[in-house]
Amino acid sequence: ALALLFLSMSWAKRGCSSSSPKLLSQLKSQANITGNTASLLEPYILHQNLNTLTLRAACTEHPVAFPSEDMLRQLSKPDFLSTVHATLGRVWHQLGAFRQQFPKIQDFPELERARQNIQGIRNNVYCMARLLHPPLEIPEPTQADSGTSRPTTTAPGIFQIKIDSCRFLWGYHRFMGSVGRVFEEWGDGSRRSRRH
Amino acid sequence: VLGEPLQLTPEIHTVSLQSALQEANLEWTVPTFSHQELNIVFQIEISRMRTSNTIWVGNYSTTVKHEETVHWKWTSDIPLECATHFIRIRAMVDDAQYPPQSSWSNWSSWKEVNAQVSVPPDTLLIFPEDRLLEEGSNVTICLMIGQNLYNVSCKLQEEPIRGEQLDSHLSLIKLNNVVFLNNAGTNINCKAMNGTKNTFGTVLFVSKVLEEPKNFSCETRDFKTLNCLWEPGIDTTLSWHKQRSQHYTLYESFSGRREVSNHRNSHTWQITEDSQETYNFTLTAENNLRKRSVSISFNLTHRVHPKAPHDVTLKTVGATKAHMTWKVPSRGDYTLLCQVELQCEGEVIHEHNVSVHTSANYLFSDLEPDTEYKACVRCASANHFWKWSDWMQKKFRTPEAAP
Repeated sequence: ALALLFLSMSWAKRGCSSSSPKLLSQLKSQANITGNTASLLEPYILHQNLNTLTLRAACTEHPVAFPSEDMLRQLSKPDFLSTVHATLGRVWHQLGAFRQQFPKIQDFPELERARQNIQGIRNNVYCMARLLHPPLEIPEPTQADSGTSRPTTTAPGIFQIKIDSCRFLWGYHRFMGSVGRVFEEWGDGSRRSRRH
Repeated sequence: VLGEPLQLTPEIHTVSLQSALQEANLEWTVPTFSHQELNIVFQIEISRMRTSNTIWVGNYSTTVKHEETVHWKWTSDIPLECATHFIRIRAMVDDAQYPPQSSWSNWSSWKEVNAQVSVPPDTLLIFPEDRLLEEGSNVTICLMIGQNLYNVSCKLQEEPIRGEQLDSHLSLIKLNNVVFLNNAGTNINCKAMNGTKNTFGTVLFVSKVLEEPKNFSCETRDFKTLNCLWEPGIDTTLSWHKQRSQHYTLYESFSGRREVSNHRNSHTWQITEDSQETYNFTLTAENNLRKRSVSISFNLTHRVHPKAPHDVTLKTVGATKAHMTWKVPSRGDYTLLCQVELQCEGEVIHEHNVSVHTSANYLFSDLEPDTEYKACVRCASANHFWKWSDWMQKKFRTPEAAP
């Protein structure tokens, strides 16, 4: 199972820190940054003219399903790392599809910055996984799909894509906030019923 | 018999729809038509939702040939998906061969035009979907309301917009003089007071009006290429691939050559050996909604912006004279006028013009011994001034006077 994680991380052959506290500290600050809606959701709302009460509500009323904080807390450390790694992999791809929404990538620099941050987190998650023994299990994602799954008969119009995209980003930021809080608990060892 | 009214009842064959353009394309014939050719005026009547609800009547005159199909296009003021339309036609001969007719033919039968989409009960459909339109234009939005929904309210971004209820499930909202917000489009969003809490919507992609290119001009520096420049005006690019940046095409009428520029404000045009001397350029800016053109005509020799003189040499002659030589890019019998300047301590103390073909020289005299000077030279077309070349400069110092 661990080999699969390595395989999927082939690009991440960069050196790993061997210091768990240092990695954990990095992961906490990265989760903090990416959990902040100012890093991606807010610029997106402004760019797509969704900055009204009604449209903000439409964005946050139905957040796209990401693994909940409670669920993340129940996971063992290896399962938690696998879930974070797999979910962020999907987020990374989904954000790639967002590029279509802009004439040029430079028109929305926050998008590429977010994707780079996600790669950085995934790399640290990979490195943290290497410091945990025994090997990791990679569970299927516990949420149906962290993409924009809207049962639509016809291709959605751009308005619906905007709203779905907004909900996705809102869900992503919330997910990273949860990840950050779970990592916080790693630090002080106060985790209670966790399967190891 | 020429006097009797001709009974020419049209028969509609096909009505094809282009919903994105809100257009209906009609094709009909006049079955009882036995003439070779006849001028006929057709009257077209269009109803909406039911045949009794006429919304448009218009005449269309054309020459009809034997067994020929007539084509005609109607642009609807509302999206065709919103309502069923009905079309019928009648005819009247309007031809010099015949005395003025006073009566129309019978109407064709009604042709139903149904582009309507079915609306799921808990859904609100809004048309047009993701329409591209120009700032300042008008658009009619239609709401098709699912059976379970009512009390629908809509906003243009955050500003409420009111509609006209055509029936319990169809409402029209007329928006006039739409305004550009940014390139991601203006969001029209609607909610129903009951049913799902979903927000339904569409995006109006309002494009800035394409501007005419300004200060379009071309010049040559080497008689090999023409460098054309212009000011493009506002960029009308829109997100979501709704409108790429406008592109610019140069068309030269004497040569018939047409080239699309890869830049927004410039293009390099190759001057071929057999090129004519007079050019008539039309520069066209084009986006999805509009074209804007400007034209200029000029003689190549009137648009020469020479490169700077080269191989400038300066030899002092004694303590009070200096001899300068220089070369210019030459082209056959083409004459340049070169301006020579002498500066001392930043001040122009001497100026002179020299006609030049390929190379030239000039003698500065009455100089002060042991003094620093700067000699400058630039050139322009002798016959038709367009622009000076850049200056070429050479500093020199006269020697001390002999004791």
